[in-house]
Amino acid sequence: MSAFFVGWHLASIRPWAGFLGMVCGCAMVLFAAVALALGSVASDPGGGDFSGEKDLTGVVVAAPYPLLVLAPDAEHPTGHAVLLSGGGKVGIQVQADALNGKRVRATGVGFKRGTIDMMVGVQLQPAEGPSPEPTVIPLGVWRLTGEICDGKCESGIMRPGNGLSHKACANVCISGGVPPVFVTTAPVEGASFLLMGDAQGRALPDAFGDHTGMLQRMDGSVVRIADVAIFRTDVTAAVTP
Amino acid sequence: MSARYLPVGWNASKLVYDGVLLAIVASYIAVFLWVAPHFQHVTLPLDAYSARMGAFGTCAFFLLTAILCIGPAARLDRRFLPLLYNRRHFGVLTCAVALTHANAAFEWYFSYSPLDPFVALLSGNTSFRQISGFPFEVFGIFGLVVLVLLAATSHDFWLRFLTPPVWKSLHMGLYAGYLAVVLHVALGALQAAHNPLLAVVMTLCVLMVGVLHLAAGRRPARPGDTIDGWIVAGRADSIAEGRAIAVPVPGAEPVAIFRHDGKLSAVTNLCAHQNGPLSEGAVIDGCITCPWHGYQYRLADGCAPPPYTEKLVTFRLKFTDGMVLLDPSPNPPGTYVEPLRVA
Repeated sequence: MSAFFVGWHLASIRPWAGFLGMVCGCAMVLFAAVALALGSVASDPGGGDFSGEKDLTGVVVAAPYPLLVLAPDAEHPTGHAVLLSGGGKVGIQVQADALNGKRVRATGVGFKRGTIDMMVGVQLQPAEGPSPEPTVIPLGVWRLTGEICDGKCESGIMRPGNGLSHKACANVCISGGVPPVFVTTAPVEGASFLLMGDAQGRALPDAFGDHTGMLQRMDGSVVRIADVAIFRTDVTAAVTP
Repeated sequence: MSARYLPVGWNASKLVYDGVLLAIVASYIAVFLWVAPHFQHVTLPLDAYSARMGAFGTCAFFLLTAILCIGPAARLDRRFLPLLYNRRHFGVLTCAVALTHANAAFEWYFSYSPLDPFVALLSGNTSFRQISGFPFEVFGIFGLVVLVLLAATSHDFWLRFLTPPVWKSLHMGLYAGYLAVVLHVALGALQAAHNPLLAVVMTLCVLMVGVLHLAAGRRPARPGDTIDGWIVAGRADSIAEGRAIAVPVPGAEPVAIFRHDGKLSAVTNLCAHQNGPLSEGAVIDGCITCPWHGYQYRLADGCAPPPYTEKLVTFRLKFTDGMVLLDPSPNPPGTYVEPLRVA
């Protein structure tokens, strides 16, 4: 009788042991080779990263999303704006609204990617000193192509913090009040990361969720506060290019 | 064979089987997470959660593909049968790998928000009316539910409780789960990938599953002619000693006709354990032995030897003009039928 395998009778496997050993060996090599190949072609998640504990003093701008505008210095002659967010996937809109236009001391953890400077886990405290109203500089009307991301993940808390795999997370973050950023395919006046707001400069409407995580083309105006560009657009009119 | 339930009826084959499986999975995960990053061209490495999602997610997909290939491969080449023997452990391990992938995604993407994580999972993306950006998570959830359900019901207790036909139908749900996983990857990771390698590998996997099933499906023989209601099964010398042929029965499951010690006996082709194909088994120690898990039955009455209690449906045979004829009317399970002596 030719070979016949019975699971509970190990000796019955002997006629096929060579074949099975070869199959198992090939499977192990194949799995390891595929793991090496797939693991080594990971998409570049970009350079966003932790930038240290922060303790900053500046003026709060609450709309469209919380910003802290720092006074001009040698590195930032027009002033420097830092996007503010809470711990986890929540914003600090309530804190920022209460202190809008006032000088505050902000503490939190910094993340930086390109021109995005983000503080998370932010706590605001009123501070003494001047609180000049930040200047809003119009940069004209633009048709931009790029991706709507949540500023927190995109700035380096997650790598990658963009793309369709990350879409649901971006929606949860932005719904929770984390500032959204528009990552453009080409720079706008030197900025590839633009804070987003609606056409009137307020927070995005709830309908943004269909447009996150993928390339979108949209029209709107761009303004600058300190060194942060803000894209004011009707996100519901966005189209897939 | 079963006279009582054990959490796992360990034997040497299962230990070897599980050891090889664990080694394959461990090497895949280790290479993906700790070796491959040295060859990446990235500004900064992926975060730990995202890397874990990729490693365990792709591993689960390949394991699932392998599980689905084992059945047809064993049908085409009997030397693959030992891989089928412990396929349930394979399934449970695949479920554990998939759960690890899901847990990483769940913790990373849907926790730390004011919403309940499950609410965040189900409401985070509701773009059901578009293909690009479609909530691919729902397919992943479905695939995971299938895997968990099959893993949870993989024990022989559930097999007996649900009965083999129901259990087998339930476990055929793995194909729906596989389809859901393919859609999950196609609408998720593949949309975000900048390199086509994953798409190429995944397409090859799906093609392999399809081609193997098509090739294996072509093997069954044609139904024989009938004489006065009896089915012509063929010549006795077409059945090798200690082996069987499967005789197709119109509108019913095939019947296995075994030859042992110069006598022929007919039983259903479906093992009472997991409905394995008995005709692909052999006679060992005077008993029909299933190729899948070694369940055994006596030739004459289809009963498992004591203390085991499984019973098979039996059939009558007769000779006419040198041909073996099969009465397609089944006897009740365990009915004694005198084996037909080959002239």
